[in-house]
Amino acid sequence: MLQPHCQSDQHQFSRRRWLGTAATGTAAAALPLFDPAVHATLLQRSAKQVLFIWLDGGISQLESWDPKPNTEFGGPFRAISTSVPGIHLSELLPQTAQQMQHLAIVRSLCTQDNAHSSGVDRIQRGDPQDRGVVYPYFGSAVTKLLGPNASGLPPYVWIKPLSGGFMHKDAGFLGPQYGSLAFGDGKPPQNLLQHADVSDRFLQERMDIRAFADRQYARGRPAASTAANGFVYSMGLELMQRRQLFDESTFSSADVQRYGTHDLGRHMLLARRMLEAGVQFVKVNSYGWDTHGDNFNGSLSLVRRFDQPFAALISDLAASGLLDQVLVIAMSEFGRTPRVNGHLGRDHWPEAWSLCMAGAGVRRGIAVGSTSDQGTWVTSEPYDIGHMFHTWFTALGINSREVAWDNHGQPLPIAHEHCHPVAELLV
Amino acid sequence: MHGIHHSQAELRALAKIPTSCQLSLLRYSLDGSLLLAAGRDGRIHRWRLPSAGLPVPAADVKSADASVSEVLPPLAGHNGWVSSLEISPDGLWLISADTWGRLACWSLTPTVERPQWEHAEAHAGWLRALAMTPDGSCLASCGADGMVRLWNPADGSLLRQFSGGGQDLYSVACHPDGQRLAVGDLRGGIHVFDLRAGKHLTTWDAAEFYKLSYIQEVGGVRWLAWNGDGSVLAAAGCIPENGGFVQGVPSLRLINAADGAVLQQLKLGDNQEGFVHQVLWHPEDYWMGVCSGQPGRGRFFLHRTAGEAPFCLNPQPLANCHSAALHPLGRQVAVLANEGTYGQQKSMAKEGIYPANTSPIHVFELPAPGPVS
Amino acid sequence: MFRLQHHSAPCFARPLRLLRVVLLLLFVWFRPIVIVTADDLAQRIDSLLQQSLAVAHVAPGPVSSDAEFCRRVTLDLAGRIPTVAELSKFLSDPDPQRRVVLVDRLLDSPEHSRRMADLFHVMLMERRGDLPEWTLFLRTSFAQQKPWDQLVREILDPQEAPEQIRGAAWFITRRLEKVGQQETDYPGLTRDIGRLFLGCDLQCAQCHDHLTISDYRQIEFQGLYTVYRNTSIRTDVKFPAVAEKPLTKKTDFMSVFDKQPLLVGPRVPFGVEQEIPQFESGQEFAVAPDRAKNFPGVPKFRGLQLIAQSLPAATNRRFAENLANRLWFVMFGSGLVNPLDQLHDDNPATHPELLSAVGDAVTAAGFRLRPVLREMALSDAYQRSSCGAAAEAVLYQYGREKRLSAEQLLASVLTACGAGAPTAIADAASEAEQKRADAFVKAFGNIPGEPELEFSPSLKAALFVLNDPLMQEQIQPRGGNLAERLAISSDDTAVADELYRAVLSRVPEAEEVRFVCEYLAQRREIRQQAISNLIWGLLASTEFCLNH
Repeated sequence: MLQPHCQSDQHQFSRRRWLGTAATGTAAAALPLFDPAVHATLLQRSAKQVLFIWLDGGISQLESWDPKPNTEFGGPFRAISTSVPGIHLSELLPQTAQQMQHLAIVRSLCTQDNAHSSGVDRIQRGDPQDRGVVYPYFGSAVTKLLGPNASGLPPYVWIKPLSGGFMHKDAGFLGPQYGSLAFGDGKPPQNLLQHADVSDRFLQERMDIRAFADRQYARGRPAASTAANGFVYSMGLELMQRRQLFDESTFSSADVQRYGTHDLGRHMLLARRMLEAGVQFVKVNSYGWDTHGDNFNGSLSLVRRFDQPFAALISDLAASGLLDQVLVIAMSEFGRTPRVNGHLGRDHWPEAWSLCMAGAGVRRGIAVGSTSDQGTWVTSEPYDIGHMFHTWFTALGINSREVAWDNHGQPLPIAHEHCHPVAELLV
Repeated sequence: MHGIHHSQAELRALAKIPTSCQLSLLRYSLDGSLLLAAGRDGRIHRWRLPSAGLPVPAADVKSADASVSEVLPPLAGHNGWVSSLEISPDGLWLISADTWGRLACWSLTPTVERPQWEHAEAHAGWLRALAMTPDGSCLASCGADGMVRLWNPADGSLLRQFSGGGQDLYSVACHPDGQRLAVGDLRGGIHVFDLRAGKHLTTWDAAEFYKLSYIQEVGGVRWLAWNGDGSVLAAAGCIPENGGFVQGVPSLRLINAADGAVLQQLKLGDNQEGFVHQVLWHPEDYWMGVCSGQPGRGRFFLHRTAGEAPFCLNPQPLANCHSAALHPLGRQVAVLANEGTYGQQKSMAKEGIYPANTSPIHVFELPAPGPVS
Repeated sequence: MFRLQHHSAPCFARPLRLLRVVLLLLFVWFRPIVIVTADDLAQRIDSLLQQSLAVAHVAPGPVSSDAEFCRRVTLDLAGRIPTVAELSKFLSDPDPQRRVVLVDRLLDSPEHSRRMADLFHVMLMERRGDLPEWTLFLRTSFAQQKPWDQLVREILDPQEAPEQIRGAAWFITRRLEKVGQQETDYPGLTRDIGRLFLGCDLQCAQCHDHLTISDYRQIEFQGLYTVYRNTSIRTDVKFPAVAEKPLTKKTDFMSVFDKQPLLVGPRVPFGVEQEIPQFESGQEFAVAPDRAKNFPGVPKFRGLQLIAQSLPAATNRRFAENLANRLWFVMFGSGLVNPLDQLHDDNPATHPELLSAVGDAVTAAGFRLRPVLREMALSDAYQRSSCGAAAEAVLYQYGREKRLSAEQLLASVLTACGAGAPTAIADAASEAEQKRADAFVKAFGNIPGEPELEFSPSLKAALFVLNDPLMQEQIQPRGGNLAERLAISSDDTAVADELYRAVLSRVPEAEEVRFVCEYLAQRREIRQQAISNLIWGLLASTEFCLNH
C-alpha cells in the first residue's frame, strides 16, 4: 500500500514494540527449562516435522508436475504415466513418477507476485495482509507454533549451497532466535567441530564443571539466565555429538549413489539424516531454476537432478514410516510461462502453476486442481499461497483459523484470513 | 560489442517471410525451390520459392517483397518439436527428427504426405542432430541418450550404433571425406569417429563451452561444421557464466583438423547474449553463423578463419537468431530470427488472447565474392 | 518544564505551632520540587526508590558484597573484570570509603574512556562495522571528557577539522551507504537520529501520525527528514564526510490515512519549524561547488547546522532525558523508560520523578557523563546485591543482571586468563588483536541494526566458547598466565581460591573449594589439562558472562 508521498520502503513497526518489552531475547519466553519433568512433557508434544524443498527461481510446471505434450506451448518433452493411473508427469521426473502413490500435486496455484525479489519473501511468509509487521517464514512459524521437540537439536535447519551460519532474517517479528541454522553446502556452522586438543572425556568434564558453576550461581536467583545459557550449551553439545549427521564420509555409498553426487543430491541426503535425527524443520534450497533462456535443456539438467534425490527421499521416508510424521513440500515462488520466448526460455508465471506435497496429514496419490489445455489459466478453484499455509498448518495439527500470533494483545492470523485449508488435500 | 567491427561487405535484406509458430532449423532443397523449416509445433513447414533465389529489388527499394514465396502444407507426423532436418545429396529425400526420438524419411516431392520410412524410437528421447555422408550412403543421428546411430537412408535400416562418450550429444557433422564423423556433447567434448569402422579416433576438448552452475549443466557444443576441404572444424556454443537465465558469451571455436589445435576462439558478444546456434561453411571461403542476444542483438555474421572479427553482420537489428540456410547458388541466405513478445504479461488467455512467438525468415543477399577487408 | 518554589518561614513568634501546622499543610500542598544537581543525585535516587519500594510494601534487598560490587563497577566503568590483585586489595582494604575511592579511581583511569568509547560505539552504530576515524573520534572525545551535547553536535554537523573529530561523520555516512540495489535509506537515518538522540522512534510516524502514540506526529518525522534527505556522502575525499545540497523548499507530505497535503520545513522533532531563507540563484553557497574536483560546496543555509544547534540543547528536555535514560540503563540494567527509544507521554517512566531528577542532573552537569555516572555508582540502589531476587521482585529491590558486550567479554577473558596485569590499552591494535576482537564481536554481538539490550545466549556464542581456538589458547599454560600459575601450584585449596578470584572475581564458597580439590585430586597425572578444564568451566558459566 504505497502512497505517492510515502516513500518508506519498509513500512514496519519495531518488533520490540509489538511484542512488548518482555522482548525477543528473553530466555524464559522463548526457551524451555531443561529439567526432567519438562523433558517428559516435551516428549508428548507434537512429533511432526517438515521438509521444505525450495527450488529458487521457478521450476517450470510444464516440464514437471503439469505436462501438456503436443500442445502449442507444451515444449519438446513427453509425459509419462506414474504409479497412480490417470496421473501423468513430465518425462523429466521418471523416478518421482514411481513414487506418485505417496504424493499430492497441486496444479491450480494462482498467486500475485511475478518478481523474485518480492515473490520469494511473500510466498515463504504466506503472503499475509499488510499490517506493517514482518511475518516469519514458514519454517520460523512452524517451529514457534509446534514448540521444541525432544531431539535437542536446533529446530530449524537450512541446507543450502554457498554460505551458512545463523540466519535471522527468516524469523520476522518472532525474533532472531527463530531464525534458521544454515549449513552452507551441507557444512556445519563455524566452531561446530570439537577442538583437536579437547577429548570427548574432557569435553564432558568441562560441561559438568560449567553446570556445577551454573547451579551455584542460580541459587537465590531467577532461573531464566542459567536456563537459557544451559540450553544453548546443551544444543551445542548435542550438535557436536551428532556431527556424524553431517559428516559426508559417513554417508553410505549406496545412498550416495541413489541420491546423486551433485549438490542437491548430497543436500537431500543430509536432509533425510536431519529428519531422522529429529530436526523439526529442514529447508533445502536449490538455486538456478530461473530458466528465462534455454529452458528446455536447462530443465533436462535441473529437473532430472531434482527427480533423483526427491524420489529417493520419498521412498526412504515411506519405507521407514517417517513419512507419516514428516510433511514434505517442494515448490518455487511461481511457475513459468506457457509462451516460449526468443531465448527458448519461459518467463515468470504466477497465474497457473504447481507444487508437490506429501506426508503428514496429506492425502496420497492425488493431483488436485487443473489448468486449461495450454496451461494458461487455472480452470478449477484457484489457490493462493494462503490456502497452502492453511492446509499445511492443518496437516501439522495446528488449527490455522483459531491459532493466532499475539501481537501485543492483538491477534494476527497465522495464515491469510481470506483463504482456507484445502479439504481435498487433507486426510 | 566484443570482437565485431564495421566493414565494407554488406548484407542486403530481400524478404521477410512470416511464420505461424517458432521454428528451429532451416534447410533449402538441393535445387533451391523449397525452403524447409523444423517447427516447434511438431510439423515440417515448407515454402516454394523461385529456384534461382528471391528477386533482388532495385537498389532504392527499401521494403522486400515476400509474395514470391508460396506456403505449402506442412508435413505432420512428428511430436514435440521437429529438431533436425537433413537432405540427401541427390536432393530427393528429406530426413527429419523430433524431440520424442522419431526419425522419418520423406520424399521431397511436394505432394507427399507420409514418410517413406520412419522409426518412432530411433533414439530414447530427444534426437538432436542429423548428418549425411557426401555420397548419401549413410545417415548419422545423435541424441540426448548419448548414442550415435548410423542408418541406411534408402530403407532406414540400422547400420551401426555406438556410444558417443556418455554425455548428451548435441551436434554431429560428417567430414567431407565421408570417413570421419565429429560429435559434440554437453560438456564441450568433440569426439571424432571413423564412420565406417565405428571406431573412436580422438577427442578434442572444448571445455569453455560448458559450466556446472549449481546443479545445472550449462552449455554444450551446439553445432559442428567442417569447412570445404575438411581442414577446419567449427564448433558453436556459448562460454557460460551462469545457468538459469543462461548468461554467457556466444562463441565460435575453429579447430585445425590435422592436430586438434585451436585456430581461433571467437567471441561474438558480451556475457548477456547466449549461444552461437548454428554455423555453416560458404564455398567462398568463409563461415556464416547465427547467434542469440538480448533484445535486438541477435546476430547473423560472416567470418573468415583467423579474421580478427566477422567481416559482415546483419544490416538491421534482429532478435535471437536460431538458424541459417544457404541457398544452393550461394548468393542468398535465409535466417530465422524470433519475433513476438517476451516477458510475463498477465494472461488474457481467458479472453482468448495469448499470442505465441514466431520465427520469421529473413532472406539476405550475400556480398559479392572478391577481395573484402 | 520544571517549577521552582521556595518557601520561607515567616518570623512570627506567637502562634508558632499553628504556623507550623499551616506550614506543614502548605508544604504538603505545594510539594517542593528540588532542582537536582549532579552532586546530590545519589541521594535523590535513593530517596525516590525508597519511596517506591515502600509503596510496594517491600524492603530493599541486601547491599552487594565487596566482591560483587568490585566486579560490577569495574565492568561498568572500566569495561572488564578486576584483576586478582585489584580484587584482593579491595577486599582487604579497611577504608570505609573504599567503594567511593574505587569508583573515583576507575573513572579517572584511561580504561574508563576506552569503555565509554566502546559503549557508545555499540549504542550509536549498532554493529554496522568499524572505521578507524570513527574509533579515533570516540576515543579522543571520551579521553577529553567531552560533554555529550558537544559530542552529539559533532556527529550531527560533522566537520573536517580538527582531524580528530572528522570521523564523527561516519554516523551519518554509514547510514547513507546503499545496500545492494535499494535506495538510500534517508528514512532510516532520520529514524536513528530520533531514536538515539531524543529517545523517540518516529519510524511509524513517517506515513501517518503514529497510530498509538499521540505525540509522535507525522510532522515530527517529516520535519527532520527534510534535512537528511538533502545529504549525501562526499566522494571527493577519502575520509567520511557529508555533503549537503541547498535546502530550498519544504517537504510536502500527507498521511496515508487522511490524504491532507501538508508542508514542513526543517524542524527538530517537537521543536519549532525554521524558515527557509531564499537566496538568489547562484547565491546559495557559502563555498561554491567545484565540479572538476567533485567538491559539493557548502550551502549558506544548512539543515545539519540547524539541527546541531537546536537538538542537543540544554533546553531540549527530551535530549537530556534520553541521555539520562540511557545512562540509567547502562548502570541499572533497565531503562526508566522502556524501550529506550519510546520516550513519550503515553509511555511513562516507571519512576517519572526519577527520570526527571536524572535529567536535571545531566543538564546541571553540562552533559558531562562522569559526574552523573559517579553519582549513580555511589547510590545505594546501584550497590544492591542481585542475589536473593525472586522472579517477581519489584524493580530496583535487588540489583539486576546485565548483558556484557563482546568488548567487555573479551577484556574480561584476557584479564581472567592473563598474567595478572590488566590488558594494556594500545591505540592501534595489532592484526592478531583485531582479528580476535572481530571474532568476539561475531560470536557475541547482535546482527547489524539490532540494539544489544538483553542477555541473549546464542548457539553461535556457545559453539565459540566450546571450540574456537581463541578460547582454547587462553586456557593453555603460557607466559605466567593463569593456567600456568595454577598448574605449577601444588596446593589445591590455593588453586581454588585463585581460580575463583581470577575468573569469577570472588572468593569461592566451601562447597566450591571442595569441588575443585576433589576434581584435581583425581587427576594428578593430567593436572594441567584438569586446570584448563576448570578454567573453561568457569569461563563458560553464566556467572562469568553476565554483569550481576
